[in-house]
Amino acid sequence: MFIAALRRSLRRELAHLARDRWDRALLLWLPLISFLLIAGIFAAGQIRDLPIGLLDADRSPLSRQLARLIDAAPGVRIVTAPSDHQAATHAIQARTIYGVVEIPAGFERKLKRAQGADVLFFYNAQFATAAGIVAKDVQAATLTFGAGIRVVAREKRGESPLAVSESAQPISLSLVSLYNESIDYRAFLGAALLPSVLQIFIMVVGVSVVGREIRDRTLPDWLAVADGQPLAALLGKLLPAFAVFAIWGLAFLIAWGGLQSAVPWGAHAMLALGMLTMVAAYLLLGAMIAALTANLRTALSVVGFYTAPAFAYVGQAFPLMAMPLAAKAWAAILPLTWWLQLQSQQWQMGTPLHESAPALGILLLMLMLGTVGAAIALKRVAGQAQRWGAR
Amino acid sequence: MNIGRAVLATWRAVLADPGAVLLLLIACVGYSFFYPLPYERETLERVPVAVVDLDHTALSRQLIRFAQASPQLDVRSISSDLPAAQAALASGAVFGVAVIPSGFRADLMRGKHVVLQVVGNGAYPLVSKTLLSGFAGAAGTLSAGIDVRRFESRGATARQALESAMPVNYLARPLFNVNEGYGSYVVPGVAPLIVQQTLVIGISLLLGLWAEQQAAGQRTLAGQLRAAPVSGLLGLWLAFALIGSLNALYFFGFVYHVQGYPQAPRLAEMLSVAVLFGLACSAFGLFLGQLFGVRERGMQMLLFSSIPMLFVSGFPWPAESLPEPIATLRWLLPSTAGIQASLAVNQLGAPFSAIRTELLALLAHSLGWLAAAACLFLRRWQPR
Repeated sequence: MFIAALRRSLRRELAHLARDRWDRALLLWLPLISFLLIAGIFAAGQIRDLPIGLLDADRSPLSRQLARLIDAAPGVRIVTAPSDHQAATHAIQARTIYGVVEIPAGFERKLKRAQGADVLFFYNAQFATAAGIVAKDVQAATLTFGAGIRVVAREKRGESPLAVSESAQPISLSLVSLYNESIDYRAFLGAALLPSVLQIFIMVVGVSVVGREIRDRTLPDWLAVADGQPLAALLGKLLPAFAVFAIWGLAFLIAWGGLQSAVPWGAHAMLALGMLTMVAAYLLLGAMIAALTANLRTALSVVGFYTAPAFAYVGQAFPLMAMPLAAKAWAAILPLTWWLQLQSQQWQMGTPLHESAPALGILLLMLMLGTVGAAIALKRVAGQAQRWGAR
Repeated sequence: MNIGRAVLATWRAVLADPGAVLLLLIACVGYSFFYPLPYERETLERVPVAVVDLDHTALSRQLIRFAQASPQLDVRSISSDLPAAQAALASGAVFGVAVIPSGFRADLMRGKHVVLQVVGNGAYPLVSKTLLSGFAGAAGTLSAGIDVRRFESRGATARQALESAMPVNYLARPLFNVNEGYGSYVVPGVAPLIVQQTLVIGISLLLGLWAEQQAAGQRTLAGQLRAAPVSGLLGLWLAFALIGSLNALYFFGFVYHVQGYPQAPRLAEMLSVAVLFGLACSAFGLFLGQLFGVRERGMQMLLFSSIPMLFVSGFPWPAESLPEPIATLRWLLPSTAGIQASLAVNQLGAPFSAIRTELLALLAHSLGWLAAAACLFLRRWQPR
């Protein structure tokens, strides 16, 4: 009985999809476009050759040597030599360069007399991603240059070359970045953004599948097809969307999984399970909101508020631990937060499976909440004919 | 209907529609509080770390004290138990582990080079950056002390010693976002996008409903405006443009100030950007809004687009790293020029000469999308 009702509800939705090319686009073309777009944006993987300026007031062999060293760094490229500070500021304001290296006059003289010569780097901190990269590379190049000068100076003082290179820097720092060695942005940012876009589509569709019937006052027809069983009606109608988004989700795991370092089979299974759970949870939470509001337009506004800025809250760009309590609480009620935690643990950090179990458990809990909530709300709105048809 | 009356009629229609009021007039205010919330504390401080001390000497303890004094670090545990520290890192209890190798002091005293290993979680680059600079500060302070002592022991004066310890003083200075806060970085970049998206979706809500009513043979405002098409369309355009410009000015003039983001705006430039951006977004919205034909369809089709639109704008992801054809096609969106021009004017204090490209682009958007919207306008609202 239940299965037969579910199957009739499914058939009703398939018939609608065959008619409505806009709703088909929402399942097929728009997710495809966003996949390709996000893959395209981060296709370079690493950021290279960002333009910076050089203000060399010394114009000496040593200042030119430093400039060559900076230009050779992978992340930056010296593209312009502004004549003064004003020109440099203007170039930064016009965003043709991300920063300017200034070598003051007397640079070489001070170095030769061991008086400590300054090198200044001004960078546009408003464009923080680019600023981080140019600042890191200019600093590394300048410090390398400084270490070279120090070695030469000590050799002149008659220290043995071996002792000099040994003590050039008494303590150096080596950063081992576990889990994402070279900061490949495809693996890091692209992998977090795609689920963030996907969840918007899933929830919009979840809301629309149910909200459409209430808006068009066709709710009784739909429920009648499913023998008045709200759960069978819901599951059958959401099944096409679940199948399509499950394929998108798994396709994402396969396409981006190749960028991750060796991931064991258990982790793959857990990721696949988590993805399916998240897709189902968003669909049913969407259905619940559609039935609760009984107004497709209101429900879509709620979904817009819930999903569109979600990426800001999930703690990928800015860590959760630094957020105020209210933001942490909001993050906790987003399935995306838990999915991305599971994803980075299993893809990048090699966390033991049982430590990711809580995240998966919360996704399952959200799915249950959505299922029960949607069924109850649907049953309720089915008896409130005066609320149907609201725009 | 003349233009003035068309503008007033459009505003009346907006006010009569709760969905449009929510998106066009209330949403920007809501987002202006909601979006900056996670970044309230702006910078990352006191990253939890573990220190594994395998040396147990006065010098290793001094390094730990320097690390404890660093505002960027919160030393949660000091032990010689490496596996425990690694487990804490994997579970997320700490975000970094520093390992002081055994023989640390002995090697340093012998003048040998010592490597301090810092293990960070690469899944969070922002945290790793803070972590590294915290430990670099601690190690640098210790290094300088050792270097100076070494030179002094050879009979140099303290001053000579200090200067030859650092032949090149590297001084990096952030411009504009001087505190390098995260909220003051990201919110001003996203704000123009919020203005564009709420305006475009709000317009599509009204036009979609009118299209349904037109199809059902009912009278609509668009049908009335179509009777005098030039002033009718211009009235629609200007009415929505003013709403977009006011929303933009609300962010530029009020939100950035209240949130305490560093700002250096020039009034004339700021007003020009707000007006041109409003005109461009309104024209863009009038074009897209007439495509959908159903009230809710604009919301369904456009909600996803904010994230890709932000990332092609050249703001969080450098435009130099975008491949063709994305690098060219992104200029079809008002948000690309709007985000750049708004950041330049409001945050970088740019004069007109530094935003010429963006202003021309916004002008081209206004005229181009208006022409496209006009074609649809003439066809869609023809009287039957």
